Amino acid sequence: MIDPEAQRAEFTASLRAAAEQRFGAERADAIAKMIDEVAARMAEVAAFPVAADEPPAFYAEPAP
Amino acid sequence: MSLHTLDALDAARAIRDKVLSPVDLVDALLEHITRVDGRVQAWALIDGDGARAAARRAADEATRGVFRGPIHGVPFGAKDIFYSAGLRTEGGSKVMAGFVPDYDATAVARLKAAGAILLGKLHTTEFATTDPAPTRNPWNLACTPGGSSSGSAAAVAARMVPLALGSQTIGSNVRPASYCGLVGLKPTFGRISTRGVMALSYTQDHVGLMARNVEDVALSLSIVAGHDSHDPSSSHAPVPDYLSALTRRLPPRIAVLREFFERATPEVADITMQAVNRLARAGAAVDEAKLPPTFQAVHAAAALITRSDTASIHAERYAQKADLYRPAIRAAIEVGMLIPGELYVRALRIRRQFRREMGPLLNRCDVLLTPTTPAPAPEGMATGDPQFQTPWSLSGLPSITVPCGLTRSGLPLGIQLVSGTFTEASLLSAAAWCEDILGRASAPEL
Repeated sequence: MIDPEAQRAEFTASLRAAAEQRFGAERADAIAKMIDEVAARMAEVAAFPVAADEPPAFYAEPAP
Repeated sequence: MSLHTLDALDAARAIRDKVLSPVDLVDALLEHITRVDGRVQAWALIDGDGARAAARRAADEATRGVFRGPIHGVPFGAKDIFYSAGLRTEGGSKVMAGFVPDYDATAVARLKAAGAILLGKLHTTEFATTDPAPTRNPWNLACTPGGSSSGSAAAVAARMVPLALGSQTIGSNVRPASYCGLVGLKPTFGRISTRGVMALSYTQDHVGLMARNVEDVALSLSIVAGHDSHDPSSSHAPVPDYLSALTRRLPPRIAVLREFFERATPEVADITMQAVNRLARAGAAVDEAKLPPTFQAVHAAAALITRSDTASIHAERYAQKADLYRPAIRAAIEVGMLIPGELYVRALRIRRQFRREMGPLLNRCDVLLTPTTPAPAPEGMATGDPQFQTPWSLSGLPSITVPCGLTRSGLPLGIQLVSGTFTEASLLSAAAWCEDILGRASAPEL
């Protein structure tokens, strides 16, 4: 089980590195707040116990 | 009664009975817009000449007994992300400056085909995200009308038009409708075609409707709903006569979602509970329900899906015009480009799990009930908190807001009702019953 805070920090670091590589350090600084928010959301999604046989939902499906 | 205060169905009936001319109605609305829109700033573009010409045609047809449809001669407005043939459509963005589509969005085209008259285009936040529109809330000009359908909500509330098209990807239709004392519907995903609507998310974009009462929303949904061969996500589900469904107004079985009340301000929770108690005293069967475990992850899943979709949708424009985007959407696009595919797909799986887990809950009641927003419209430019809409945008379940009272400071609040997929007929019927008990919102003083 990965510690959620460690997971979040890992995502923040990887997003920051990817942003610097793709958009440059100045833009990475400019979007630092958004990176923090999205990293937190990524950690939540990664940690949530989705059922192993649950397929993704795309377009309209029959009523649940 | 001043003509500009007429609601859509009342106006349509008066035109059909030949006691009202569409020309007089359009003129009255344009005059009222001239009086108040300098303060409200709802309109991005007013097509006075086009609307007057359409009104003259509609009046001539009505004189000859020709009515194109149930909304013949009634004006409407469209959020400025809806394509309108020959009219500038800029989505609140410099990126789209001067863009003039050569066709109408399907929702616009269907309203026109039913006889409605497009009065103009309504302000939106940039590409329906968070960089704000200039629009102010008619109930208090210091406050936001909400967003992203800011102009749609403000224009209908300020009696500048009886009906407007909005859209919702997270909370952009139901929330501003509630902030402005309106009825606002976000139907089931796929119920209304999104063709010709500037996209933000492939699987969360919904066309929304706003009016001042449930009947007008039902009428307009009957017109715009239905499959569109140009939109692969639009549903083939049959379209009932939603207006006729309102004739069966029975007290609904309501399941109150307590978690939402705990996340609302004490004043919002209190006023909403007072409304629930009135509904119970009037005969509604009120129970409490608990959300399934996946609810914990819906906000995160919705965020990843929306950011990733937005990045994909804007990738080409961003490559050419990055500097023209405002800060919030530019940051959203850039970070969206970096989200790993594995987590995007996991978010889609969470969405499906949430929909599946909601099934039993929806089967034991007619509607779920929450406060529409955790707080009334905030002061300033920020467009407010969409968290109470996110689960229904993510899952595609239909939701509607109905006014339920005013705060001590005089700002409108609403109850939000949610039901199963493609159950808009019973959702609207329940909403109409609640509206009968709670009353319609009055007009803001401007």
